[in-house]
Amino acid sequence: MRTVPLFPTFLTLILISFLVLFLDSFQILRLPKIAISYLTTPIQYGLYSSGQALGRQFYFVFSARFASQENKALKEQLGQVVSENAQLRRKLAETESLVAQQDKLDPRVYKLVTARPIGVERFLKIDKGSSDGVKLNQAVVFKDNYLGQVVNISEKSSGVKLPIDPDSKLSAFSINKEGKAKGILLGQFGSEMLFDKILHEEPIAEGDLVYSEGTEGFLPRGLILGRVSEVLQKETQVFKQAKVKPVFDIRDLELVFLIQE
Amino acid sequence: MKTLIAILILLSFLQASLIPFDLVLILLILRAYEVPGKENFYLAFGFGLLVSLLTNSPMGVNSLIFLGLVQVTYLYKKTPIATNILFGLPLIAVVLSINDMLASLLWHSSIQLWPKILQETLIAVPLFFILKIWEERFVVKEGMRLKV
Repeated sequence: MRTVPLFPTFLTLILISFLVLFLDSFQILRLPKIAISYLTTPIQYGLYSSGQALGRQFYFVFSARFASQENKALKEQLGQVVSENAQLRRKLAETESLVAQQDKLDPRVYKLVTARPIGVERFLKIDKGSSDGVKLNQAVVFKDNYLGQVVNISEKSSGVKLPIDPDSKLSAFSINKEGKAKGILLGQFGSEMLFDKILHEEPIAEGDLVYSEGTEGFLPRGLILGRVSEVLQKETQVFKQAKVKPVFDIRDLELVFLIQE
Repeated sequence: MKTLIAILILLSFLQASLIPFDLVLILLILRAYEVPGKENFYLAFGFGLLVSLLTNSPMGVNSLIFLGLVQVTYLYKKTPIATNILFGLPLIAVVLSINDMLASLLWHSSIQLWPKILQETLIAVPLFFILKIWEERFVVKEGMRLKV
């Protein structure tokens, strides 16, 4: 490797540089500088413009990529928010149901256990079972409406026999301004019940509410069983009958309540 | 040499209009580190003038700085640690820092080394290897004879 015996060259160039600096400080190099700038300025401008155009293209690509990522992230966030919103709405509905239930059946008198409907076939399936203390024949209510009776139990779920079930038979009464009618509410195939064994002299009309008599023992007296939709009356028969429809659709319920004691 | 001059001209224009790094100085230092010789002084002087012209600095100032820094590189090259390429990186960082400090003094502006020096030092790494390959493979050396 060569050593650096270049001090004379270095010194000469340093001196020339000082000379150039000196000349430039007295504006002696002004004219050649202007002349060269006629050549260099357009090149610099061209490079600068090209750089800016290129920068804009890169910025666009970067922005598009960023926007795409942001869009994806926002969609994820939106999904989470919608999910949280749905959860909050469900909790609110459950809380409202709970409050409404406590208004109707005094928690000091009835020990109520909340349950969620998880399916309806012949029986209404709820998410509470023997591990939650559910026992056979317990009544299931919503507010002051009777929904059914527990007929089968597993560890974590139970089946509830609805009043419209053909096997359901409840002593009931209806009441209106003219008086009270007693009878037996029988489940029918379909979505209706038949209020049977009503004496002819007992008043009943369309729109009357039908309540539980409470003689079965597992449910309190005065729970709503349904509403009279049609009165069937024949002079030749001993008893009157009435078609009764449930007050609401069981599929709309968020929560139901088991009366444990 | 012609290729090197063309590249240095291009880098001078790029440095003066687009890229805010001292690319010319980096290349000059790397060449001085890799291929010592008095042509590096001529290049430093000439491109110092060109950079001064393009950046509207007083003519001669950049030449002085570049010449001084090339000489510093030669002095460093004479030390035993210069054989290790890794020790070249601090040299680049120091040289570029000196250049920035002198430029700041010239323009009476505050000295801001970070992160420009780091970026320039990182740019110098691939440039060094490109230059090394170029000088080894594509530049004909005097005294090389083809054996027939």
